[in-house]
Amino acid sequence: MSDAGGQRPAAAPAQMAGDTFPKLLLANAERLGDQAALREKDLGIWRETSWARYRDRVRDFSLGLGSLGLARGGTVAIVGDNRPEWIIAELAAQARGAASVGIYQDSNLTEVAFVIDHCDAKFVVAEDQEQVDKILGMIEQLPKVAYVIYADPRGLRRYDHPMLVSFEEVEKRGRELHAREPSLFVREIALGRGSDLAMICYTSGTTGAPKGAMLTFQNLLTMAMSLHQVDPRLPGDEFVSFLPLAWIGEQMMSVATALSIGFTINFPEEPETALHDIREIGPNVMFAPPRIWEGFNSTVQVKIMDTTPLKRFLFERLLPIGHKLADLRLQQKQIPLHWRFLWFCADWLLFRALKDRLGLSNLRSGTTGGAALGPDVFRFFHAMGVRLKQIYGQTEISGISCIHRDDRIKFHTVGEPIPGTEVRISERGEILSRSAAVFLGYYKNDEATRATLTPDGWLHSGDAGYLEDGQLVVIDRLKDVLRLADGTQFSPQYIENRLKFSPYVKEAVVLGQDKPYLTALVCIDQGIVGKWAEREKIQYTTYTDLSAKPRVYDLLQEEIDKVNQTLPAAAKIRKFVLLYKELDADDEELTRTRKVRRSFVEERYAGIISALYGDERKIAVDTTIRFQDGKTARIQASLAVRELGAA
Amino acid sequence: MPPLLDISGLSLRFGGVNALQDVSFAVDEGALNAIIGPNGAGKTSLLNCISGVYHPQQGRIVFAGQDVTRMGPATRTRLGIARTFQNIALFRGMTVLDNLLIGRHVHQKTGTLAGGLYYGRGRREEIRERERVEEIIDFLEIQPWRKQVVHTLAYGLQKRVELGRALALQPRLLLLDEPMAGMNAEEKEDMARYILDINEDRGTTVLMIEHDMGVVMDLSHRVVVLNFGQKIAEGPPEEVQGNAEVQAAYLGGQAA
Repeated sequence: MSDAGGQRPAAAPAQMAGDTFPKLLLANAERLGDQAALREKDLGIWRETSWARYRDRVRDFSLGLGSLGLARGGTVAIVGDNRPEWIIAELAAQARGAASVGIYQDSNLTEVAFVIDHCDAKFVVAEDQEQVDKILGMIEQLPKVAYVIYADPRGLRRYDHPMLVSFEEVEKRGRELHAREPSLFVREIALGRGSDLAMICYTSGTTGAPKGAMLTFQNLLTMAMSLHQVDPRLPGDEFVSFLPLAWIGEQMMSVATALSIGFTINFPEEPETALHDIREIGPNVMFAPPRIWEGFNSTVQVKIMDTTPLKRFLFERLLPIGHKLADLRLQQKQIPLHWRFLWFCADWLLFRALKDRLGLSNLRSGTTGGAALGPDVFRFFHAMGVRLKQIYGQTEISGISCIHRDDRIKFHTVGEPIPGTEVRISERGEILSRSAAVFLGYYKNDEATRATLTPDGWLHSGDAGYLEDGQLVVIDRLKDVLRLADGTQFSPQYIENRLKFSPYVKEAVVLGQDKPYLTALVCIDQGIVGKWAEREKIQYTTYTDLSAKPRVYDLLQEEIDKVNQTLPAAAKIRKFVLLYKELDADDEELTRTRKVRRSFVEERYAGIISALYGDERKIAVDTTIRFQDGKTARIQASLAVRELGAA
Repeated sequence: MPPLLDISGLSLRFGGVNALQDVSFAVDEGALNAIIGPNGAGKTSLLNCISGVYHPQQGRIVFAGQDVTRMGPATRTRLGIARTFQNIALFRGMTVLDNLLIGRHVHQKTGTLAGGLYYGRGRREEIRERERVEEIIDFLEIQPWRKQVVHTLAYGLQKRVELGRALALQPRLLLLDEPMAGMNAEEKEDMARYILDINEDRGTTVLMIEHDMGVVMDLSHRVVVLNFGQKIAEGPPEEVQGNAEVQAAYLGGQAA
């Protein structure tokens, strides 16, 4: 991970049959012929498209687009749910020397119109009536669009807009052209180069208009092959494509990796049936954001609560065996023979059944990315023998720069750079990366490109982080990182999230900007702490009363201590109080999406906060709260300030 | 071309109560018509006469050129009349799929033995019927609930399943009794789209009773207005809306 050198590293060795996606498609159709390339559940049955048929459909659609006037260097915008037609349209555009532009299917009108207009697309491929309505509704603002091609004719029969063409019609035109000029398709593909623009991936920035990252075939294939070296995918693997294809992560799997390795992509029947369809397929490879894994975890927890006492008994006895083994393995310790045997039994009695229910029986490579996943959820999957790994990257580096290695998984890191990728931390604490997968720049936005990409090829991530034994730890977005009075950086959100991984913590606000040390306001989760108190035979009346109990303080102190152990010495939480009420959106302390409104909370609890930075051990609170029905209640309480061990 | 459904001089009495008095109207093939009227006007009785649940004392009902006045409901179903009910009438303990397959039953030709053995012709027929049902599942977008037991589904969804079962009969005339009742705005919008698609894409003639005037005015080609068992108006929605007698019937006042 050196800082020196002005050259970009060379591309990963290409032992591939082509340097563009369409060339790989031709080679796969030749090599794999009638093996399944795509599978879609339609009318309740999985229907296969072979590699040869995949190629033929791409050929027809591509030639059809050509006959309608798609030129080399053009762009084709695609919007819709995950269906074979989505990637057929993408490859068809690329076969013709044009770039594809994916649009998130749940985007609103303005976003859709912005992207279509900004990317200069003459063709828009829309899945169905819903998407067609969006585009035709904005057509006056889209002067460059010449054709809107729809895949699903349902409900569109009574439309007679001159720009509307059906997917079938385009394919038919292509077939006719192919009959006249049988070598045209192959000739067009041969003109393509690895350095050609493959796609423009628009990233929805939190502020301002979306930016279009330009990625070449070489970028995408380098990333796919580098990832493959450390997390291998095999020909014949099954993959379920259910995340938006406009997202780089889904492109990486369903297009770049699928074409270079030659595995099968399965499309669910409807977005709502995705989890059920995953179970039917039993994928070998899966890449999903944390919410999906968390969903699996909570499904199991809920089912266990409702199941028979015997099953619940088994679950409660056998899961700790899994945890024990996972912990040993993650600490890279030798696993004693009797633990191996116990796990083997637990696997037969429980884990196999669980994995089968979730559709994870065949999973070899499970990865999570996009946000932090709680360590308990991580541990749950490892206990069952699903070696879940974290992935990190940006659209601008073709999706991936880091991944956990199989034998070195730490829950708080995002793993190590993939081969051919350099990662370093700038003086400001920002994560920078460089590889042959780094993008060309933003489409028609040189200013943004200059701000993101240094002349010697380093990509600014905008994320703050640090390296720990060669593994990258991501803290937060750089702009959200605060500083203590002595200049030590910390990310309140990072620490708060870790606190909230504890089931006892409902909300937490970490403070310390320009202060000598960190403190935290913590709101307990009344349901779970209340249950705990009942079990411990602690009597309480209200939330306020419960959060003032010394035993509850002890419990929370343990939880905070655990989090403190993972934090750098200079940025540990020194003091905390348990608030006498929950933070509430109705009191404007939280946004409607349950994000803490930091400045508001700081102002409202200024008295408590100043006490946290003083010598007081107790804070007297006398406040009036107003309920929704207009009633008021006076709260008089004395909050204890807990100081945590300096170690 | 003669109308698909031709009703003339229909009268229905329950003891001394005149539920319907001399009602006549026609529904053209491919139409999407509505019956409206205040509570107790006789709308559901009229639908029951058409589907064969009630037998009118006077009048004739001609469906597709055939006099069906004296036929039972099952015979009419085979001829191509299907309906949904105001209160959902599904097999609550059965799955969505099974409820729809039952809708296909009238079209099955193999006997109990062949069907039970699931061999040869019986098996081929089962597969064909399942395909038909899957098309309806796709059409109504109820894939996520295919294997769920009906009574565990939300009300709006049950309504959709009931519509699906009526479609499984492959009707030429679909009778809908308050398809939007008890639905929220979004569910109503979905249902309106399905009804339009059934009429326009599948070419099924639809006759519906509906209280939501917005829906009636937006969807229907023609409207029949009943009041106290009598037809008081008929015509395109705009025309009916402006009719003084109709306004009086709804507002309870005197016709101006």
